[in-house]
Amino acid sequence: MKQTLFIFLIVSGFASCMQSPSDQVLPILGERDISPAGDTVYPTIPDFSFVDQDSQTVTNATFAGKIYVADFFFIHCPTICPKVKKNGLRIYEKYKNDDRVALLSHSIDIRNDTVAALKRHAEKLGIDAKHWRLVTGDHDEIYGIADNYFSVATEDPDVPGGFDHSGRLILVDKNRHVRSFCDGTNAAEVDRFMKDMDLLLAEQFPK
Amino acid sequence: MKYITQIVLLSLIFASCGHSHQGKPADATAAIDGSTVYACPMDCEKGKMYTKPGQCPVCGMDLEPRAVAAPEELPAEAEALSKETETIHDEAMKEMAEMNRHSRRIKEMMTKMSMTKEVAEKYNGVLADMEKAEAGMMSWMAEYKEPTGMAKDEAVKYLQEQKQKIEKNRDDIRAALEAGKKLLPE
Repeated sequence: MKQTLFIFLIVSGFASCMQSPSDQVLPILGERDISPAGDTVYPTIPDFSFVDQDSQTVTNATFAGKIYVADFFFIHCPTICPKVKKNGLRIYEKYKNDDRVALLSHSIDIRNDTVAALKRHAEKLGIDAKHWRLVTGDHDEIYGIADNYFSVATEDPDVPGGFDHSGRLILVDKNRHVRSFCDGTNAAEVDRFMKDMDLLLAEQFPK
Repeated sequence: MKYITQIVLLSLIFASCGHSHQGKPADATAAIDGSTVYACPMDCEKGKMYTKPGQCPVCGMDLEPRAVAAPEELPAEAEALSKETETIHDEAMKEMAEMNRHSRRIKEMMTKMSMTKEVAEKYNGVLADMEKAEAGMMSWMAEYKEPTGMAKDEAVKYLQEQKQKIEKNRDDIRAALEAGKKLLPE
């Protein structure tokens, strides 16, 4: 039985390699539902309203017609966040001239990460708010939406520290669907994630 | 959080490098890097090490070879401590997320049902405890620093204190979560 499984894994491994990149489409993540009308309904990121480092209101409309990368962080994070930010900066550098892509980092430390603190942090990172929003907002709204982003990324529900503190990067498409995620502390995973971003761009912005 | 271990380990390795020539004579069995230093068997000069063999300038005895402890040998205690701290922190973060879920549900319930002033006070008290527990976690994380540049004993002491703090915080979170659970219907 073990052998069968092993062979199956090898075969399926080859099968996925043989698929040409242009045929690959990222799945829509999360548990699907069937509407009363019989349509398949995928989980979507709900409405939100936060404030960014330039005191601008950031809502779903901010990301209309874009794909975006969401994560959760806080400035005083001693360990994980700096690594995630470093990898986030790689994503930022790659797409900073591409208006189809944005980054959205939610602070989970409402008390300390004020707009002014976020502004300083953005300046330190050298990022432009148009492409990378660092947001704060209502405590319950931030934690609530974290559950929305992470509920679909169920690969490893026992991630130490829980998802709010996992350093995950989440890729959201134009239709508010989660399409990919990765461990933002892991450079190799982030490489794979950026390939997923390119795939999604090709799918949602056909030439 | 798992990276704390590595960072702590690294910083302790550096700390121990700066320490090995002035601290207590190193354990001869711990030689991994192969370098050897010489010290007086009577320890006349309080741990002073020499790079070449010779006689102790105080008592005149022949200096004994001592291996420099490999960096890996030194931080074991601190490493264990930082791992424990890390585990407690991770548990606490998970429970904090759960606690926040409960606090949202409690607030939502409070908007939907009418309650006496007494009951409302009880609910608000639990919500305040939850908020306080979360604030405790945030300030712990803001204050926690890798013990970079600290000597081993100092690092161990620091980590012991941090471990106690985060344990207390985890217990606060846990208590607030349990109190919150009781307010919600199954």
